[in-house]
Amino acid sequence: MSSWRHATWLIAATLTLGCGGSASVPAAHQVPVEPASAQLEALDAQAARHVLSRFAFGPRPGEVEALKREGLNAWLDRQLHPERIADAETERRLQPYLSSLSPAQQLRAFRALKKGGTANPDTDLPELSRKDFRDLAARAQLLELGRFIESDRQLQEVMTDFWSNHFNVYARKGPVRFLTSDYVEHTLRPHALGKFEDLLLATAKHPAMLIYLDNAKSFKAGAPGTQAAKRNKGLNENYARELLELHTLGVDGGYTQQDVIEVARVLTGWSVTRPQEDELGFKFRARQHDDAAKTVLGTQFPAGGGQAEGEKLIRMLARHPATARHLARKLCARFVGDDPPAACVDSAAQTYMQSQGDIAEVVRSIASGASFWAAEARGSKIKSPLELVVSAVRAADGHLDGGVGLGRTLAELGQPLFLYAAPTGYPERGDAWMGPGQALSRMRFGIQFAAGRVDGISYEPDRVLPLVDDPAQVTANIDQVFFAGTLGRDSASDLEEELKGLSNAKQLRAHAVAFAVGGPEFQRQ
Amino acid sequence: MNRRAFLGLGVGAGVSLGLGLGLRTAWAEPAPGGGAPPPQPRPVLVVVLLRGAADGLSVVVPHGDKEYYDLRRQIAIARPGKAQSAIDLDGRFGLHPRLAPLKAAWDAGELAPIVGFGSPDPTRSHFDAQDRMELGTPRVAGKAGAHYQSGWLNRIAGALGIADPLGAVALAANMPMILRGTAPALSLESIDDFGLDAPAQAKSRLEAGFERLYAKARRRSPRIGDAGEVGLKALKELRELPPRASAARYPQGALGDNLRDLARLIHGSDALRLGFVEVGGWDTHTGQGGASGGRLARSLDELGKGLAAFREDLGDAGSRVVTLVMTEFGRTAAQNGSGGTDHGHGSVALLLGGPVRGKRVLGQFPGLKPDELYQGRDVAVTTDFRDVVAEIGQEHLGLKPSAVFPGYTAGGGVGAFA
Repeated sequence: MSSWRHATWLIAATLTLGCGGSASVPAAHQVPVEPASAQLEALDAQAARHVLSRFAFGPRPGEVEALKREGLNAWLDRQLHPERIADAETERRLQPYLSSLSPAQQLRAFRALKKGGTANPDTDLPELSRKDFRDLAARAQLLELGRFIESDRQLQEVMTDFWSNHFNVYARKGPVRFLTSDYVEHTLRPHALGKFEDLLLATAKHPAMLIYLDNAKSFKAGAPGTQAAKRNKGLNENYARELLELHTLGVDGGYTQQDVIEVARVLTGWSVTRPQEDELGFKFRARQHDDAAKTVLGTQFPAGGGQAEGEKLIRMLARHPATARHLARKLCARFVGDDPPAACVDSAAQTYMQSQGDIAEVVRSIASGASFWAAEARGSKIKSPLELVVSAVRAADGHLDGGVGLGRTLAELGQPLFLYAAPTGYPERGDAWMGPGQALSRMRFGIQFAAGRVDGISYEPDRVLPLVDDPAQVTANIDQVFFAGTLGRDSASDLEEELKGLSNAKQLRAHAVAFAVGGPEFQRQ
Repeated sequence: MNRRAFLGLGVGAGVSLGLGLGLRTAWAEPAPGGGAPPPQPRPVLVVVLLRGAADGLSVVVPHGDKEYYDLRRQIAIARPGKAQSAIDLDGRFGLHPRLAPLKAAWDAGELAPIVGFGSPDPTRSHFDAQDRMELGTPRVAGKAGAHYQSGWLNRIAGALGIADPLGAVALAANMPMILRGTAPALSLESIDDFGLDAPAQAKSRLEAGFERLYAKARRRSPRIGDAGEVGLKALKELRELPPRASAARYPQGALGDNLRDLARLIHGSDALRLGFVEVGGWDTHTGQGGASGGRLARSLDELGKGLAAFREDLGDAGSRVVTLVMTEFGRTAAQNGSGGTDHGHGSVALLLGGPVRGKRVLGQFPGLKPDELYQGRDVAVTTDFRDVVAEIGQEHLGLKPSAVFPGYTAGGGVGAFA
């Protein structure tokens, strides 16, 4: 690491304390993280399920017991280094959903289809119909959802979901639909637990983002009379604004409209390759770039900086204390509660600055912090539809079964993948996900799940929930499978009450699963 | 493993994902005959939110302003009289040609655009502006801001004393901020898709079971318990809603579908007082286009046709329905470098409906000269959205402004009902 880089981080780490709200301000290297709870090495079932509900998409059978044996620190050590977890079985299960066509090939085939199938420049490409393209889109959704369901690298997947909202793209904008899989697979997931600045830079250069937020179409303002001015090409602020507001500093991060313009100028020329010639990728177009001097947040960018000044800018934004706080707040909201305690945010922001934006370290500090372990954090979050679906499949030890309709199930629940138009991504707060209509959709999902009618996944009910004809026993089994035995006496007796009078064992089981998955307790995590 | 073997619920092979099938069957049964007197019609407010910042200067074109044509050489809407030009309203303003279906409402005195409409909040962030517009919490320099936790449409629901789950309905997959709060409100994607989709023989048991489970869950988690209870109550009421074959030609797409459902609720249930519809696609940074061909023309085409069909569908009921169409902020006065417009400030709103004294352009146009623009680049805001909402609340719904925006002293409004 260069000394320049180190120096930047140290200064910033000191700065962040100013807005951290701590009463005493210790030296940067001595800042204590939030005190950890004493119980970390002796987890009970409730605690283990809490961990697996937040840092994983819910437990598969046996995972609560395994975590209790392993202890939190060892589990976190493995999950924070996903490359140490073998995941070949997941890759095997995902094979059916991979496309042999690159994004550019898909785009060319799509353009050929729109022109009537005559202009396909790739003679070796198969001709694709509209139905084929719908199928491609459905498989792209399954590829992402499938890893959430299947992968043992659960924390990496949870973070991939987090970043796919933080760095949202929208599949209905131009060629983005052909790029979502590449974006998630090669940009978000590999960096999901790495350094934030590497992740940020990777998203800034990905064609999905460059197209979604229009930076590919942002040009230096043309001098009057030039070709550019005549064609009326010029600056586009869209990406610059969201980069500051959503990706880094946050809406109250202290930037001005002039900063937005200057950032947009720095990033002129960050564009994409032409799909008719190449694979879709990043391309710096020097002629599009504004080469004059700029000033962003008081930092000078001298004339002639070229592509490098954009990279310098992005790293500078990643290291900014406001970015630390913005990310800390969002991560605490994800893992601890919709209105996270200040202690969690302060501690996560400090860890971010001290670790030079190491996402894994920030996540670790949250997981071992007192806020996460506070009694009021347990079960306090409402599952998003995605969390509901994935956690239900995992609880029942289900797997992908080759069908491609799971994306539609998610759409019916109000969360179609890659289809949130606004750059904020899907909301994290529970009140966005729990209105009367949404509750009804969740009950409907419970019924579909119990009937084995969720397209794309299967589970083996006879293996996870053996047939019995006693409502009390069925309730106990449901408690084990879907709640790791933590359902509690009140909720368990409420459920048992609803099963009385059903004597047929199959009916009993189906009703119990529907009530469990579609009922109120499973909507919380 | 044969999955069907596990069904237990008895789902036959013939039943696929036909959502709401059970509902349609229920409607086929004869409606309960009644000698009850028809309920007293009550005023209704419908809010249509254009998410993504609609370009007000293209919706209500200031064709009398020379500056408008200087600022937008490629994307301006031509002066009335030419092909594909603005539809003149009052000699100074005109509707975008794709809003031609609304001309009939204007001529009938049931349409009043409001120019210079918007939020005084300086933000150019979509989510920040939408949240603050829906909560009613714009930040105004030098003034203490409000900190409402609920959306203003939900506060109106509370002030109207709405208790029925069909009293305040958002036709949206997820509950929008504007309707979040303590008063009961419902979000649903479509009437026909609303239901448990349970197999016939298990349906009543599942429904009753869920109802009890959610009711009991209120002890532990009020939000979840409430949501389930209200949802199931709404389901029962929707089942009683008479079917309706409408001759109105709604455009294809979610907006048309949502407005059709809303009209059906207004006709079929005396409970509905507040409706909400949202439509995206207004963030025209690139390829905005002019009178035809661009992204904005396509969006306005759908909006114009949708609102006109809604008016036709409402028929006589339209005399008690006011529709407010608004957006979180406007766009830059000048076009940008990509044939589009960037985030700006002031925009326009449309007020429609029988109670509106229309055929007038309301509000004060702030002008497009450099010194008239907000921060030198955007249309200024001369009418605070809260003043219009307060005016609708007072004149149309009979509510005190303080019930909608506690602590805010509303301005004079725009005289939309005077």
